[in-house]
Amino acid sequence: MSAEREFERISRAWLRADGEASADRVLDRVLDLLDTSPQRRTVRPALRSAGMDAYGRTPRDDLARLALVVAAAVAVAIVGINLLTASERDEATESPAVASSPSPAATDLGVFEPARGRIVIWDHGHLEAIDPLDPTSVRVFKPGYIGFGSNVMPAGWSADGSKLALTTEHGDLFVMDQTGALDWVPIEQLPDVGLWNFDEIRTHLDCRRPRPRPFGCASSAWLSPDGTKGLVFESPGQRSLGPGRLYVMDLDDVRASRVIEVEGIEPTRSVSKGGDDSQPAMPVWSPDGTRIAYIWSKEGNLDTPAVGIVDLETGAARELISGWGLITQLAWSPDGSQLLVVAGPGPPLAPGGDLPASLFLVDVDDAEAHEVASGRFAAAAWSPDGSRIAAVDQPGTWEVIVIDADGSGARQVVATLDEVGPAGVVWHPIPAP
Amino acid sequence: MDDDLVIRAQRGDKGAYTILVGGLADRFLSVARRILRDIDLAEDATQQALLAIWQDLPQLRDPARFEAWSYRLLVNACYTEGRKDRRWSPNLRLLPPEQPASDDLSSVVDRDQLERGFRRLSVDQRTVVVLHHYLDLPLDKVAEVLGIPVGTAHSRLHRAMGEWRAALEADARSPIQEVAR
Repeated sequence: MSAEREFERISRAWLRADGEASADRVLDRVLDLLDTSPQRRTVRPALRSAGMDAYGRTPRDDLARLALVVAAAVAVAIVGINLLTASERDEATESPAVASSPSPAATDLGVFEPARGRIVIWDHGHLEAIDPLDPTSVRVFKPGYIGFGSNVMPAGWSADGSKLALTTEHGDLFVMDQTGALDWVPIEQLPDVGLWNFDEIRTHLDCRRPRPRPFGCASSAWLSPDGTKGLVFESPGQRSLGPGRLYVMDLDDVRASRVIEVEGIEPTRSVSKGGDDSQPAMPVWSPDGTRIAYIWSKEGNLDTPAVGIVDLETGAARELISGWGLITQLAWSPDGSQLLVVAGPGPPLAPGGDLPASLFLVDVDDAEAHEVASGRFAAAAWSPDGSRIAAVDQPGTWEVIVIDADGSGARQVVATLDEVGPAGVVWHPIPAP
Repeated sequence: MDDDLVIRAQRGDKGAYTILVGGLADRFLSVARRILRDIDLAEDATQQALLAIWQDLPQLRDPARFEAWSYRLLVNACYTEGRKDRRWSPNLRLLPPEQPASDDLSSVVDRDQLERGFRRLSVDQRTVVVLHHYLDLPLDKVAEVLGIPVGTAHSRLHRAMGEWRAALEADARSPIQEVAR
């Protein structure tokens, strides 16, 4: 028997040597606590009782979905934009979808106090708030349990730092507020989900990543700056012909309060259900809430993505950059003048290698781009003052670095031995006192 | 696991919940104790996990995944308690005296050496070792519980076992014995 096998046998025997312990005392305590520990019920049960299924859909929704799926081929190329509402066209045309200014900073950040001014990642079932100036100072806080997806990615703060959007590996979306309350956002109610959930990521990216990460490309600024709205793009297969649709979702009553139709998408090819790569995706709010940047593909192929910007006040859309290899994340600079783009050459990949991805800064006005750092970046976020960038890199094992916005002064703030790390990083918008 | 019990507990049936977790609690405590190497921390982690099952069960979509889901809660609770241990309680108490070791084991390597070596592993590493070598979960199930790719579970286990062995070898060479981390 090899030494390795022998050690395995010994360790198994050692682990089993002291048998099972009795947990009666623990169980008694838990049962005593049940009355004061209500079950966390989200919108889903209520919707079910209102005649919807477990995901908040009615039979009518299903028919509508079916009809949309039967339609035909979605395509590409932004020519213009029409604004309309799902049910309140007038309301939508009278005011921008979300043109509100960022809320003033919350004076009491509640459960988010440990995160004030810090870089936040998800690791091992916790949110970790890391002081960029003293990386040894790590504060751990944990939201209430989120579904059965303990793998969670932070997907953006509200501007006042009082709300945090979180996505799970199963594509669920939650918004947590400073009281610790966690609202599940039933995005399945909407015609479709453009926030790239993890299933979609697997569909889209597994073939591109020899070692796919459990997390991928959720939007880093999914919440509107005022924390009241979210963004949803259509996902593949739901509509296959006609303009792309961006839904501005009111989080209070979970409905699409506004739909922006992106006209001019060319029906370049037929697509089967779930097979359309041409959808716009990853919408991110500008800091002032007046524009949305998003990723899409001109050729109906995610290998050749482009970045578009929609002005919510005028409805004008324009292409900012195109012809890049693979874009995985966008983040507006705090002053709204630049987009931080995480992008790489895309496939083909070297066997066994991870996907190279650099950090680029793109001027929003003239589209001038320059590389800030090269590596294998999975995600990045701006510091509140726009002077620095935090990024998750995966040169082998993963790490978090902080780098000055001009590309200088890179320093490692988290180093691990784990091969798979968080693909999301956010920086709390309110500076530490 | 009885799906019907899970569904009833999801709907707030405390009786169903009691039956459900009654069958899990001892095993949970044993797993937590092996990961954390401290009975008090293990009890806290078990309590935390059992309570989380009650609180969050309505959000479990697929009752058939209850077992993996519940173990994930336990692992998360162990991570929480493990962090407390690392940050605020550097002096671990040893586990209560254990039953006599088998002849094979005692003749090959000292049990205290195994304990000391195991404690040197991170909670991550201990977890994957316990799930695989104590619970006998295959690596794809371990990966599901931990929410990591199977390849990562495999490499984490391999690395943990290697470091455990290396720690034993280093311990055997060192005249100084470390009682607790």
